[in-house]
Amino acid sequence: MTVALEVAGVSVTYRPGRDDAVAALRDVSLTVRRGRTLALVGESGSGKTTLARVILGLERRESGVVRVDGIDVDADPSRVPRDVRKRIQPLFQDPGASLDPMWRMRDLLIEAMDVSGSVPPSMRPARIGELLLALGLADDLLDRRVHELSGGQKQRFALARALATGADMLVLDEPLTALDPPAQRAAMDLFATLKRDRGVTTLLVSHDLDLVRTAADDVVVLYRGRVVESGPTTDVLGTPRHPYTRLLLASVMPPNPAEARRRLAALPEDDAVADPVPSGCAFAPRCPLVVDACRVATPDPKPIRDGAEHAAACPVSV
Amino acid sequence: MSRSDGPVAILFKDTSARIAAGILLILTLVAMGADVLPLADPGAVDTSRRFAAPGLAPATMTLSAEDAARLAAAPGLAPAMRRALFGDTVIAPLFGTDELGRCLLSRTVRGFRLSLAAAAVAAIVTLLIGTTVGAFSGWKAGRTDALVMRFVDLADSVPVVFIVIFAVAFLRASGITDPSAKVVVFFATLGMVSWITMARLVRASALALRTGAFIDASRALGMSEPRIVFRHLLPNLVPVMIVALSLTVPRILLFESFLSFLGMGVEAPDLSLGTLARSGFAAFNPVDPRVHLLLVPGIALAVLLLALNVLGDAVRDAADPRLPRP
Repeated sequence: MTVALEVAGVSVTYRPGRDDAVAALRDVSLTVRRGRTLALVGESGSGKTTLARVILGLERRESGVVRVDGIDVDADPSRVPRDVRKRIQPLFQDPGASLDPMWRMRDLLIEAMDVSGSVPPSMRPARIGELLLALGLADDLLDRRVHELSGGQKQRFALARALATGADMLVLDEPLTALDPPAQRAAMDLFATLKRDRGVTTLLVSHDLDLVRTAADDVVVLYRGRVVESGPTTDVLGTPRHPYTRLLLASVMPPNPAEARRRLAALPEDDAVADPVPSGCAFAPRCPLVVDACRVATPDPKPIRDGAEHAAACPVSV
Repeated sequence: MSRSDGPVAILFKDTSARIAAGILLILTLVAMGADVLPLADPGAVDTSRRFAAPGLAPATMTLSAEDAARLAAAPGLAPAMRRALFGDTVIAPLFGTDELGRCLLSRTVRGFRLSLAAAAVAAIVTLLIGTTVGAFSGWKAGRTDALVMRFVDLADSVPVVFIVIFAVAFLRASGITDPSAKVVVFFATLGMVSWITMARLVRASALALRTGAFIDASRALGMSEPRIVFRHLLPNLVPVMIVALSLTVPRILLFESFLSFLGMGVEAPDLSLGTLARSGFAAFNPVDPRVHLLLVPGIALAVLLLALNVLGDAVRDAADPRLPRP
């Protein structure tokens, strides 16, 4: 199977003040194979969105390599080749905000084709018709602006624009949070259809573990900017090896209230102070299995068995 | 109303906007065509009718032989058109006359013309400088923004009234008596202050928009920076530009009248609504108030300001597609 997206050793540090430095991503590596869906999970501040923005060429990275279809994505966002742009497209968390409120949908779609050079002018009306059909959008919506659309329609137009560039790779950032439950259902079906019929490769950024379980083939768990566990979804979510992944799974509310209360009481508090660059494992202050070695050396992800795809960055549990 | 209505169609569905636009259009046409209309010479003195009260009869008169000769000798297209259209007929002083018996209607029209010109200069300077400075500063953000905005603060802290006094005094001292030179200096000073509100409002809006998801989406599509700025940033700044204009233009009109009223702006023989109010104030006395000399320029200014405000509001609403339509 060919690799569609490759990320190797990416680090990003934010410098909000002269002496502040917050490591948003540290030495992150992952690969997404063609036609597959990889989910990036982790809590708020884990660096999921930063990584997505680096891959899209919206954020400058300090080090590391990003390759889309084997083409290097320049670290400087203003120098990312157009060839990359038209292969990988985002679907932002709030799709309504990603559509210019002054523009009609038709013009936004035409602009995407124009900028990416994906469809010659004479073919554009036909291509627009085809996209609307595939995404279940009515023709008369084309003359509307974004405030005249429902949440689900906004998301479908944002998707239509992404696909209008000819992209076959999507970065979905929390794609369900802006939608109501029926629209969520429809959106999940749509993503599944895009994957099946068009072979779309997807990087899914989400903390919704139910969505990840349903939609993703592989999972990468991020904690404070580091990959702590990765592998096929069934392995990582079924038999988690890293203590943080276990905590993450345990935080999902079970339907039974008594069980929910018991689990909540058992969760360790996140009282680790924001340490710019802590030595050792970032999870050590919260970890129930912590040993002295964890505070000294930063563990690297290791396969849980020789040759296994499932890997975890924990010397105690692997 | 259909969803595809453009901003102009939306604007003119609004009755008050239509009325305001109509008033402004008529006033502007009258001001611009003042030389064609059969108005009395604003400087023609007639001591036989000092402080005449406003009245509708007679509505028209015939030019005096002296004035008719002056009109016949006047060069240029506008007097020729006037001769062809109206001959020797002239509109009577319907708004009354001043202390020298000059026609207040004719004087108000000329004063109006200069006030409108001041407003137009302010609008153009505001749009050119204010939008450019504001959009540039907000779009660049960071250090550039901090630097540019300190410069704007500096420009805002200049005491304009003193600058005007200095400029006027300087012109007097240097022996320049050409009235148009004074008007140019006066307008330039007005322009200096007029763009600041625009720059601040546009900058704040651009700063908020630049990190918005639709700008990110444009970048992710691979658009060039000029394309993003001109096709996505600037159109989204239009509503705030209109707000700033509708704040600035009336303020400049009032400021112009205020300075002229104080005798620091427009000077005779040039006329503005401010100088007219000034002479009305001078003619005022408790025994014989002669209020028309104050009321006529005052009402003219009020009508102009009200029409500008109503139209500004409606244009802003029409330019923002996000607002719900009645």
